[in-house]
Amino acid sequence: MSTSPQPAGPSQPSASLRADPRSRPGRRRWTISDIVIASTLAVACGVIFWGWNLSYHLVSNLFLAYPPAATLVHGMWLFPAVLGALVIRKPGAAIFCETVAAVVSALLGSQFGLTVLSSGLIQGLGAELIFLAVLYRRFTPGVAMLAGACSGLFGGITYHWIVPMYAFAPFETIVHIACFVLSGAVLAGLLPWMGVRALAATSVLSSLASRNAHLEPAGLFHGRRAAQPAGDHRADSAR
Amino acid sequence: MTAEARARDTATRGARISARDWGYCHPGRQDPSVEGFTLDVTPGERVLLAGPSGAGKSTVLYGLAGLLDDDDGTPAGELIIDGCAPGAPGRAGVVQQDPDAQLVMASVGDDVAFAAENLGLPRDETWRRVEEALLEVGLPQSRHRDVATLSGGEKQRIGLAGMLVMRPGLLLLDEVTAHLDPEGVRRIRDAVISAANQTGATLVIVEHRIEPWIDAVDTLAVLDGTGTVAFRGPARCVHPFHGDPAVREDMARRDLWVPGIDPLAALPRWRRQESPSDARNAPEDMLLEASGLSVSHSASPALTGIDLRVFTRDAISIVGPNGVGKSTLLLTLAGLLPTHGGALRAGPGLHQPGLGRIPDDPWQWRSADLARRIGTVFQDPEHHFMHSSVWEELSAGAQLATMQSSTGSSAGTAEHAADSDTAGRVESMLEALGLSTLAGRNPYSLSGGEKRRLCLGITLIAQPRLLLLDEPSMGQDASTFQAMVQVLRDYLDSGGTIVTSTHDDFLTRGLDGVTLDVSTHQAGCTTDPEAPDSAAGRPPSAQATVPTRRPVPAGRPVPTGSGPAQPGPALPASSASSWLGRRNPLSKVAAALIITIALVCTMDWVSAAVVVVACCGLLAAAGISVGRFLRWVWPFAVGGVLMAWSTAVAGEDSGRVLLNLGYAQVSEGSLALGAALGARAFAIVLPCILLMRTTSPTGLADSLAQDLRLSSRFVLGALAGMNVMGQLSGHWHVLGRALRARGRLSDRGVVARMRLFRNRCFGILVMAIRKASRMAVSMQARGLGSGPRSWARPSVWTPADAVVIGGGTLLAIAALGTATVAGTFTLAW
Repeated sequence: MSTSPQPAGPSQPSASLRADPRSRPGRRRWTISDIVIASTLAVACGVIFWGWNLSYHLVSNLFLAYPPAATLVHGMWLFPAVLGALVIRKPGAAIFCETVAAVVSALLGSQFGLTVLSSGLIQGLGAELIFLAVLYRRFTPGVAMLAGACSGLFGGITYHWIVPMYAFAPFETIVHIACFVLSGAVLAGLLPWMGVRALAATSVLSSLASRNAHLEPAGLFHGRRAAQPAGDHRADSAR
Repeated sequence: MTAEARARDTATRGARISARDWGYCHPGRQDPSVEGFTLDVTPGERVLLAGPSGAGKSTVLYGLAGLLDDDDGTPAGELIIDGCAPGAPGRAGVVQQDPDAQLVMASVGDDVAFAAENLGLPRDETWRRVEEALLEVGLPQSRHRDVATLSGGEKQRIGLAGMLVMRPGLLLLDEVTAHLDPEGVRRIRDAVISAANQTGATLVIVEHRIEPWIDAVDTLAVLDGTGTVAFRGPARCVHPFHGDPAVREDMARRDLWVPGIDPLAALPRWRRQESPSDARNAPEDMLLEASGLSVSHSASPALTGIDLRVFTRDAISIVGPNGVGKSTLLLTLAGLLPTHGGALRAGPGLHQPGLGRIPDDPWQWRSADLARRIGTVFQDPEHHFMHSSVWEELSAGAQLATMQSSTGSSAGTAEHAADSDTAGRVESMLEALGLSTLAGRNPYSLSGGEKRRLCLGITLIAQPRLLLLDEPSMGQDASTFQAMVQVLRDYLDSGGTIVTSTHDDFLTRGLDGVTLDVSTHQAGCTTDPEAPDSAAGRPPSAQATVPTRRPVPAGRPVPTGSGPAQPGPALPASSASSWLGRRNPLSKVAAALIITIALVCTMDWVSAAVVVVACCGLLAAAGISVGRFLRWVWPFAVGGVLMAWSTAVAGEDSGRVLLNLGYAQVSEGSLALGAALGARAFAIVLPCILLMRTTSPTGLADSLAQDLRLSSRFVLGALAGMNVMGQLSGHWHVLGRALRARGRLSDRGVVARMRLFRNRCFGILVMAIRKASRMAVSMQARGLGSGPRSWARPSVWTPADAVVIGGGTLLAIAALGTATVAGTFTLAW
């Protein structure tokens, strides 16, 4: 019975009582803030997808001369995965954000219908695997680009063999997937990484593990672990 | 323990608070927000917690609510409620400052029920408490209203009701009146006090302006800058008549708005220089003239018949109750909204020589022309921010003014001089605003008061002739207010002109200004000029029986989900009452999935055609008219054609070559493939559109959590995310107006435009994350994730749902069967 008065012994300081055993080790459990912010980001990405889906009809015209190169812009469909993982920094963020964004775009009307369920899951999985490989400890531009690229690779495989949407000749198929990987690394890797740094600088991420992303070194793979609060010296540039 | 037992226990006992040297350091900060907080509160006591900005009042409040459970935060000392650590589910309720932050669900009833569901209360108990709570806050029978139709004051009262359903022993209010007009303040205060009387709950109220609460609370506790309690005594000590003068003086020195002590008295005596309008008619000093002006945000006007002349050195305050259209009038005068009727003309004072000819109506000016003449300070400071440091923000504004003064002069040396001039002016503006030490900071990361001062500076440094401010004194502590009045006085002295919308008498007096009461100009309202929220009696809408949408008083712009002011994709569920709309969302999802799988597993045009025909046949059952359907789907038809072409060109060739383009060719085989993929790309959209247009997100979330047993935290989190984005859809236009006001929409070139687009997206994203963080706090305060959850709206399955799934399966079989018979079936793998 949580609300009944209990003897308030001085040996029960609230500070130590509040430590939630579920979340201490590894800090892997999602908080409500994690969930709501990830969902909001994902829904925002879904709305961007909706706009992008509509403009894609025109954009794809640019590639009419050589359609397999159209995947050069398909990285636009992958960025929620890396964005979510970089912001939330917990297992499942990439899959969650990519899938919710995909579902929302379908909900608003999309030429891909409910197939986005599978593509969202698989593309998210591609990015997730990279973050898993670094044990959710490194969020450097290199890791972000790898994640975007891997997401593109998985997306390309889906396009051709899992939910076949294209029927290209073998060489064109390879070009198609390679362009997707490249696009993923840049549009869905580097750009989200820069975006998260800019967001962290505004302090809106203060309730999340990525709150100090803008202070982390920008080495390709040699970022240090997510900053620890106790030893961290917040560099107030002007103070 | 059963839910009923818990309900009985929490019903009528106030919480006891005991804090000993408590402190808290937010993660990522070096200095603790609160240190050495010691306070005892007996059950049922009503405490007003005051103190300067940044004293840690909110941190204390969230600590009491048990919401500071961030793993990376560092608490100190002890904080005990009823002998336990804070955070017992349902024991404490928090109402926040931002009215939108508490609204998690789309309808009032669902939103108020949210906390009761999180506590696992049975369904009938939940709805009984919802009705009780709505009655308590003076909004009975509003269960079915859409939260988007609520005014700010009503939202705050619904937020309060959402906490009252938990029957909390501790009610915590975080500056809940900051966004309200005096009438709205009175109403929420009365609702809080009556709830406390009924339940005996302990109250802790954080406010800057203590006057409305002073008679209603027992104790005043004042924090010093670090969160230590500097004063604790009976609230009547500061009463204007029976108070202790020494205490009152002391409180005023501590930056409080003490009732009966004029915050302006601390400023030097000042009188506004007489503006020409007071003396004689001087046409060259006339800045704006409105005759018979009506203004609106949407199709119907908010205010009509406004006659107004603005002369140099005028200080005009537009007053009237919340929601009457003050801001709309202000934005129209600012050239940020088109006029709805009548005429608005810029006078000779704004047609400065040397700046080229401009039209009379400010709405038709180029963005840069506008920003050099009329400065606008928005309610939300963050709408102003476009750069990554305070310095850059100010120098961008200063450059606008420089462009103005150096127009016509040659480039080169003049430009160089202008640069150093800009730097000098930024320096002195930083000095004047007291922001010198923060020049390198990201503007978003400033405190509330600092942000407000900064956007005043951003606007003033462009040296506009006319300054428009929307509710500038909202939610400020006394010293921030005094600093702002001083800056505005200097501006008036230098020949500036000010128009504000406000319900603050202090501001009008501080600027020695005149008021323009617009409540009598409300369009179509002759008998009851009051807006519903501030009407003395109960709003008429509250008596209507179960309205799905509030009856709109004639001419009053009420934001509705489908209003023309709402941009972006319309959220679905426009046909929720149709036959298909009444079915279980999951049955529709299942049917759509089955059809999609059938379409995906073959590459031919026949199966796609069958699905298209069948979906068109279902339009009646979905309550969708053919016209609307065509409007939604035509882009996808175009997309299908493009898809067909790209595959015909790049697809694997077979059969006769039909067209040789040199680099590629179209053959019979690739054309057939293209036709199949194109038709399929179109057909695959249709089940989705039927599904989503007949399903509400709330209904889908209910089904996902109850039937599929998905984690309620994640399902409700996703639903909240959708609501946040829904709330923000109007902000895209607001940000556009802000860019126009800052003179940025005139920027030419692809790069500049892309940068503008990026700025706008970034602004929306920051706002979305901020709202989401607040909503997460609200959801946690209402016990989400604290234990097993109940669901107030059952997910119902009927035989008709079997018909939906069966129908979907039949359609899938029919599509594949027809394709097989027609000989076009081609396995996709």
